[in-house]
Amino acid sequence: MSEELLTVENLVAGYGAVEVLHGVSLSIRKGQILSIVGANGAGKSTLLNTISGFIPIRSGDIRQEGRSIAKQAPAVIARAGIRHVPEGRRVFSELSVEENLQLGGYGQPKAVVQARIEHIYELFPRLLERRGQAAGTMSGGEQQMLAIGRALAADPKVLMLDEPSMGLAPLVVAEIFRLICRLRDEMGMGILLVEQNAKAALRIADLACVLSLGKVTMHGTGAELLHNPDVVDAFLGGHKAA
Amino acid sequence: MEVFIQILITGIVVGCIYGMAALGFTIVYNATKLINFANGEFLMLGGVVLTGAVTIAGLPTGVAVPVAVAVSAAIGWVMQRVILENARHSDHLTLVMLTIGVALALRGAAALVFGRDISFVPEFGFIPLVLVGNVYIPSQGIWIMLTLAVLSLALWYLFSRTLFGKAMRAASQEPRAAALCGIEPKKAAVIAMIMAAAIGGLAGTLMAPISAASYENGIFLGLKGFAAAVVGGLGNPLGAILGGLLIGVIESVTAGYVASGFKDAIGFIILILVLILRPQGLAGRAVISRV
Repeated sequence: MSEELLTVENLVAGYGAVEVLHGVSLSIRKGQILSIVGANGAGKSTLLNTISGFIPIRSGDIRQEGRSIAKQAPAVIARAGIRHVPEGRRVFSELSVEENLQLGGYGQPKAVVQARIEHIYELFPRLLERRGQAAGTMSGGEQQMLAIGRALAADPKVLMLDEPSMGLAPLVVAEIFRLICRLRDEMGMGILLVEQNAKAALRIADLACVLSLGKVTMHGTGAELLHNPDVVDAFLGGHKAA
Repeated sequence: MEVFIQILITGIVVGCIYGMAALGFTIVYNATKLINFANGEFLMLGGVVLTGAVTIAGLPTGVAVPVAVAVSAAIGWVMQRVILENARHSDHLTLVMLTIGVALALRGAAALVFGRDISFVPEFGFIPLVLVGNVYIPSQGIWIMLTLAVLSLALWYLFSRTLFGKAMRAASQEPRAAALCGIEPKKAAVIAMIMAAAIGGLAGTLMAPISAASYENGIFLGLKGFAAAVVGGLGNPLGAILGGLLIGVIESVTAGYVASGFKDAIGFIILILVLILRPQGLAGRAVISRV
């Protein structure tokens, strides 16, 4: 097995009096996709927001290559190479596509970031066509590509994607999932994918786990969970889906 | 006609000052969504520090102006770092009350340090007054208009041409996504406050020669600037300048043709009308908020 890029250990976190995550452990390795599936309210987004530093942790630890990042501010964690593509894309709608990408590499040398942006345009030719357009005027799929591109502009080690398929047409979803595989295969990124579209997420996953009421209830390879009868029943639409 | 143009020019000059005050509200609001009611005090500080530096310390205007701007900017920095940053987890109303508290403290401090007398400083000079027919544009008025023009250009360049300015806009539009890009929201807030304080201080120095500097000036300048920022569409820098000019011109016309006693009321009548008829402000776009 290759090196662990991100390790989450017995993570407990929540909002105010409500505890959402009750001891979640997982790890992400170089060149691997870890998919987390689970119902609405299982704590998937809370998990990503806690890793990103928006939600203070109550106990447990989050380590990047062995070093704890559990008490760092979101901007510090982002600069350390853990990039979170948030739910709902959150592009800077008044700024152009190119400006969004440049801000993704904020704080890094301009020439390096510009070279990465050229590479991002190769991955997403659609963004190149629209480089001068205001991000808010693009379609949902294009905004999702931009949100991923913005994270890639920093050349992250770990990419965390929160519901990238949400609200998108099936063809666009397929395109985005193909791209996620390319990022793993060509750039060796560690990818944490949170999805309600469980079938698609498990198909491309190397490893996967089911998050249920703030706990990891099942884990295995993507193929194992895809064929596990309990998972099929709960998330893949019963027997028809196998 | 000449009288009208003369009144118009007076209004534009005053409006430029209101516009600079409004810019301070706008820049801080954009970075932190906070209405900083101490913003008017930055203009007051610019004025009293300039007069202090000229009359007490005997500095030439060319040195005293940068000193006054720097003092105001430094106070903005301290206010953000020491007070607002430590209270950032408080609710919004508490933060607004804190800015009012800072405003009162600055007013008291200015009265203690510089005294309660109204004081004048000489005009900046150098630029001659311009006479067109019977209409004259005072030298200090030209200074004020030129400063606002240069300032607008500089701000436009910063926010639309530099990555740093774009990062500040990004942090204001989508604070969380900006943090995920490694942009520190705290840093953006400090820089916004320093900019507002420096612009306010500069406006205060510019108006000191034409309308005496006094520790009491902050409140009315703050309210006029706030009205201008809201009239123009809160959060819109261009709207802030237009709002300032509009209030300045209408005040001046009221003072010239109706009665100068109504002058101050008129700015707020405009504010109320705009809030009723066009709540997003004159230059603002309609905001649809999702519930």
